[in-house]
Amino acid sequence: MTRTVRDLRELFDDMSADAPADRPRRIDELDRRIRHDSRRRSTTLALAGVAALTAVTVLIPTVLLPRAPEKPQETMATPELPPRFTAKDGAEYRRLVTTTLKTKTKGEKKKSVTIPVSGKPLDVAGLCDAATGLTERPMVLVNGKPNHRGFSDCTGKADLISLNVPKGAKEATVTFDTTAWGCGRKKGEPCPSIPIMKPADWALAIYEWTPPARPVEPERFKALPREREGMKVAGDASGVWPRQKSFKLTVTSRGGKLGINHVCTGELAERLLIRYRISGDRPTYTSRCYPLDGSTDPALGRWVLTEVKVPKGKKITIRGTMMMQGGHPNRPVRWSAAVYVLP
Amino acid sequence: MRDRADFVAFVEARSPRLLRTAYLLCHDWAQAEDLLQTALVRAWRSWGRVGEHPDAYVSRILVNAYLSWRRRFWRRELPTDAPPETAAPGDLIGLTDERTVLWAALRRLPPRQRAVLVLRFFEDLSEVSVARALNCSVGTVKSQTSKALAKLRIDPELVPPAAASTVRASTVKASTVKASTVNRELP
Repeated sequence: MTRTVRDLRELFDDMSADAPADRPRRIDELDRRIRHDSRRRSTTLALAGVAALTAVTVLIPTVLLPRAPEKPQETMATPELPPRFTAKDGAEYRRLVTTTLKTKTKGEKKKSVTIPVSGKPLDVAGLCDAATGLTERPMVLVNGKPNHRGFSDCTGKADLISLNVPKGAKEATVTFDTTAWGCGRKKGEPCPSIPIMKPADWALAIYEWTPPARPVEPERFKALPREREGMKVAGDASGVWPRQKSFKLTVTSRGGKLGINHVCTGELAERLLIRYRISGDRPTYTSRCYPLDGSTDPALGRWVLTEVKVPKGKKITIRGTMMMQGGHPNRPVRWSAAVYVLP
Repeated sequence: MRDRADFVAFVEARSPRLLRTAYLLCHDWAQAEDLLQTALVRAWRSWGRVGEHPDAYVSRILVNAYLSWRRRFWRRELPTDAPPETAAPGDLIGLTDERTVLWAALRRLPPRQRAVLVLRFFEDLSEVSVARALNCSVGTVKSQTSKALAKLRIDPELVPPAAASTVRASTVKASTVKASTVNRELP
């Protein structure tokens, strides 16, 4: 057995060991799904009959009649980026435009689209072809200026990020550009060679969304674990953005080290940034909130504490400020932050 | 002939293990639960015809449901266990832990290759059983396994031990580096 295979077996065992507690109601949920499945299948059969009749009476004559020439499509439709969808919290998404950036197969480096701006929030979705490893991700520019956020790594899943359009604009030109990746954002800045980056093909779409009519409370979750990586909680805070946007904790670390951790729930959890200011002349530390997906117990996550060295035995004040990128008051985010110290 | 009581007993006994398999396939617990339930609903449709060993049958449904999801599904948000800014391509901090790297590399394998590895090395199925589950030949299972393992070994992120120790030493100051990097990014 090679080391990789042994490692692989251990990795599989360890990574899947943290399964959420078994659902006692799984059988009930299955019952519901089975009933729904039976109903759907019966309906599908009935509809198939109706569709067959329709094909005979309507579609076949249509095919036989001369057709008007079709308008050329400006952009390629991508089934993975649907024209409309509803988020879990009820926000309605409507696709404004789709395009592709085929860097891998066609060598395309840059593509621009112009969209109408109605004043509703905008998101941009990017989906790269799967299994391409570390890939060149297109930088997103709005009217020539970098968007406040770029795409995450290429994993074969669609990534949805907010699009920052200037206030009052009636239309905007959005550019997807892979040429400048990793070369900084200033003109003429040297571009380091990144040999491990591979080109990828991207399907892209811009969505306009309508938030739910009323605020949808994000899921509640358990407190952060009291102990992590040998450190103990010295202070914690929690709240719901936008109602609570900051917190202040004062702690003392006898061991001269702090650990910071935070988690969030809500559809836009990943868009909440927390900026930490730690007393003294330290630089601020900002991090995106870790979304709790499919679990209500942060202890199940494999979060790594962000460690900060501090003077031993001295009182330290930590101020946290929430910053939302592309959020809405009716799509709140529940957050919880904790500071750990070496006992 | 199998009945509902059989099915309930099977779900109760085998769900935890199948959920783990589903998680290893899709790397997300919520999706894993959904995938498991989808597979069980499909299994129920033909439960009466399942033979003495429903395990292999349900595993097969699970893997095929996963593969068809991968072909069709739109998944909105990208669940990550690290903030996106740490994954900057030029920044190997955070990628140095070999297990993390291996996990990330697994995630990038084509779905079918990942499925082969999970069935072979987690479910401990023989090559013949994997071939049956994936409806392909034993030769294909062998080649997919060796391709997948080769990819994991030669993955550019898999830092060789000598280089790893150098990078690992630098991660001690990861928080400082990350903080300054992020601050430059923010408005």
